[in-house]
Amino acid sequence: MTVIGYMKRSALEGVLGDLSDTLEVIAPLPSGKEGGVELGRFEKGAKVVIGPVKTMLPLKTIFLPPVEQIFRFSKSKNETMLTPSTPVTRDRVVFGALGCDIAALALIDEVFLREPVDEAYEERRTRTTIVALACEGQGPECFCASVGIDPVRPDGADVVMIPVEDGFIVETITKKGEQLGAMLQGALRDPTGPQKKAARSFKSSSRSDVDLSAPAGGWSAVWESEAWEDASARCIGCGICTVVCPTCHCFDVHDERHGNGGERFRKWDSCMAVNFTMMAHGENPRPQHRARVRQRYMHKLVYFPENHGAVACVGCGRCAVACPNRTGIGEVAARMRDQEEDSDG
Amino acid sequence: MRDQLKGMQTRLREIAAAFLERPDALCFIGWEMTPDEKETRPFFARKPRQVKRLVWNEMCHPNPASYLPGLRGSEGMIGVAVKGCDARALRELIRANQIERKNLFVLGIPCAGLVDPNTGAIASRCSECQYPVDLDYDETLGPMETPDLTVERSAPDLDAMSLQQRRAFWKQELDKCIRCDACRKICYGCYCPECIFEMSDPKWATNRGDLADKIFYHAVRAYHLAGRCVGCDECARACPMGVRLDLLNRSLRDHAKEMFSFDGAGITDEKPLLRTFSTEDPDPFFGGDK
Repeated sequence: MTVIGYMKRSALEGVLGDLSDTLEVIAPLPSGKEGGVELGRFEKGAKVVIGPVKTMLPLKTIFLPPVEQIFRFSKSKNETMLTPSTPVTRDRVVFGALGCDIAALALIDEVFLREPVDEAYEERRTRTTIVALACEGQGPECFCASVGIDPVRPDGADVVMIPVEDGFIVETITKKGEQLGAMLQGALRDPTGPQKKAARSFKSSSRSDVDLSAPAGGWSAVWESEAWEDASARCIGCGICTVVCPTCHCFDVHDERHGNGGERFRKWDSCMAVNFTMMAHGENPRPQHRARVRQRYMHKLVYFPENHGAVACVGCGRCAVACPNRTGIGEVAARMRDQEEDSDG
Repeated sequence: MRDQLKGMQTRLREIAAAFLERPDALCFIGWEMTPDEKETRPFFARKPRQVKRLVWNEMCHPNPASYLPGLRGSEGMIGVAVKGCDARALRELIRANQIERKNLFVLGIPCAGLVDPNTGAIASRCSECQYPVDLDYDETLGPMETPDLTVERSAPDLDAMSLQQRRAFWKQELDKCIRCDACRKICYGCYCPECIFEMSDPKWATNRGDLADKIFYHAVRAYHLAGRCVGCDECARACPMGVRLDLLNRSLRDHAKEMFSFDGAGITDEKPLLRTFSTEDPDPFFGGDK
């Protein structure tokens, strides 16, 4: 970690504009929703939103897009043509990424970068430099500190920007980060003593008391628990929790034909959807809503740790915010540990 | 006002507890506070001692009646608390045979208007508040009459727009959609056992998720709800991307009223709009106004 300088907040859009001559620049931009912010391609003249609003859609969207073409196909008389798609055309930089979202990438990497490597995902990862924004806690829902994430200098970031009076202290962490740092030099000045001090003492308000640990006797002991009924009764099964979750990564592959051609694409899928487990022969091994709800939490808290060594939750709290009923993973884990009915009321 | 709500809440808990004492009672659906204590969410009380979690206040937006089709065929009686908009939905569900009245214990709640958690003002859905006239309640917390509310409709005037402007507005609005299906899943009226958007054989809709798909999805949903949407605005509340579905459904209701004098969803015994035919239809195709 090296402090490479201080950048004024007012210089940011200019810097991104210059970078966009050579790189694809992705940054938090105002979305269509009132007060909403989403990651989007930065074009010169755009205004970037840097905190305190968390994007509703997580950083994973730029590595695992919601819909992604794999190839196009077309058919002439005697020939079928396949045209593979290009995942990215330029090197990219993403600004303002949060610690929770960056930590989630390390989890998804476990899935996509293991053999057989997912080439499109790998190429997007390799060709993207991640500039983190040290996060002071973006809302009351935040609990990344509870799952061992450092929201100030998150693992996986190439560069970190730490907000201090009207600007940022910029620190480089990786080789990729140093290369980007060199491109930022023109906008940096030497930080003053107080600025350096402010960066060193920058703290996050993320909650550290959310407990995702297993019930006494382990998760298998609560497999048939009536508590799942409580957790699933109010759930409408919309699957927003899976859409906004930075670690959810399931997808389905579709072929769609238009005339003599068409495309194959993959699209996010959701374990909350009835069709998620639908078999081609018409059988659905997970037809009950309650079993689908249980699956989602078991995958996050049991199967993923068993397969990859870590809980698949980064404490962003988006599930609780986006859920029409405000059900978050922390609440469900607590309910499962406490099998006493209505003990929380 | 606060004291009055508190008193109603106490009474609600008493009534729910008494209902749950019945040997045939399965559950009572009302509202509880969300963990952050700022909003409410549906709560299924199953034991009398759980009624202490039930609340009644200005944040009781969710529509408990929308869970009823999913409980069809359950053994036992289901208790459900309904305010005006929920009562309209309940009435439509009973009329459409989605739930049998004899399996329900209905508690009617006079609602003096919900509060929008974002603005602190009366929720825009309340501008259309109307209590159904002939729903038979098992118990009520007061006279089930439409309250006298003045509500600002904070919305662009779609009718004042040109066709091109309106098209541009809806394209921009619907492009925000991420097709998570929350609007469909929360809607009282979306009770088809299999939605056409879930079917893979035949595949009616593509999965590409581009603007055309989004428009197709919302247009199909809107048409299926014409004359059935009761204006509870739960779709707009559930949407994580802020798509103004309340406006889409409201304009459908306005048009149903204007063109077919239909103002019946959940309120009167008028036949469902999509099940009526008239030679006076304003569309020339049906022999109406040439």
